[in-house]
Amino acid sequence: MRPFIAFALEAFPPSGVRREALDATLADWRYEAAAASTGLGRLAVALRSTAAVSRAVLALAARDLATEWRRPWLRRLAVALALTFAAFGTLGPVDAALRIIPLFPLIVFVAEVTGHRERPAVGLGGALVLAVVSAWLVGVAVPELYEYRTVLDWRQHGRAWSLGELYASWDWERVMRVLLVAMHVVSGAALAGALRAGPQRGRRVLVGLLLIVAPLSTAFFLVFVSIPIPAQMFYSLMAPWRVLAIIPPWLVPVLTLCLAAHLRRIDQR
Amino acid sequence: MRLPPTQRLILSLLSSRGPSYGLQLVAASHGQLKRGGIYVTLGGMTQKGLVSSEVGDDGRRLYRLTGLGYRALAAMELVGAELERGYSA
Repeated sequence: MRPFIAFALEAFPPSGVRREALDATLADWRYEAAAASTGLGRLAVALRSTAAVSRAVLALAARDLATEWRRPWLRRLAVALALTFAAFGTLGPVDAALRIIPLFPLIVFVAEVTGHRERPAVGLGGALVLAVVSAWLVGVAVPELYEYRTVLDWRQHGRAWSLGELYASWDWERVMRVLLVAMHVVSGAALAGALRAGPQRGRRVLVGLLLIVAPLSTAFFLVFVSIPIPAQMFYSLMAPWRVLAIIPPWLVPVLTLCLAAHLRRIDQR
Repeated sequence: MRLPPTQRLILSLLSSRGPSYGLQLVAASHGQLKRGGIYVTLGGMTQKGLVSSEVGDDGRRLYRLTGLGYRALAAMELVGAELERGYSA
């Protein structure tokens, strides 16, 4: 458990004193685990130390959150989110929105990377908020979105489906548009934050990775959603690809965090 | 400089025990200091210049009082003694 938690903590944005607090807590864990002579003792140490790490992370996050809202990137994100909600909540058909939205990670990413270098990276509190929002969106929004897209296609092909009644309301469509936008904007912000916190060499690698993955995600929406083929064949052949088309914007921040942690570990060696 | 009770306790413990690891301070505080949380507090005290630390071979940090830490502790004890004297008079 300790190596996994240590690896996850390495992905958090580093900052002198905060990094020291986490490292010291993990060092205590290592010390006590080495001193424990029995399996039961090691289990007790693991439970105690996991609670200690959680307490340290929460304490650091609470301290960060008090000042996090003043950071420029958060204000820009809030304004972008509000404008996007206003635009997609009131204008245009759903399909048009779906084809534009995958570009958001790229837009947010470029905006962040081209910003001032001396601007502080996202803090621990901000990163935790993004992680919680991301986890919620992945757990709740992605399955709903996939089902929503399926129902939309059934409706477009003139098939009757009982669930269609549920999703046909105008209010629900608006909610789904907002969720789609939120998914991509938050994932883009998480990615940008992770990139800015990572080492310089890692950034170059990740820039290349994103520039490959983001257009791919967009291409899936632009091409495959537009192909007019019989519904049965479409679902049997295209459904897995369409799931991929929704997931990549979420995989990128996760992969980025893991890769940033890995690169940081290499740099430390 | 106003110090929270937890930081005052750490100053007292470091003064009486000498350089100590975080876990030793937690054990000596009889439940007043918590694992994990203590390093956040110690980090804040390091930023204020009240304590300093060095990393050992095993990665653990050994904390000790700085000159400013000793002076802050002495000032607190002086204020406490004055208050007690005024209260009893």
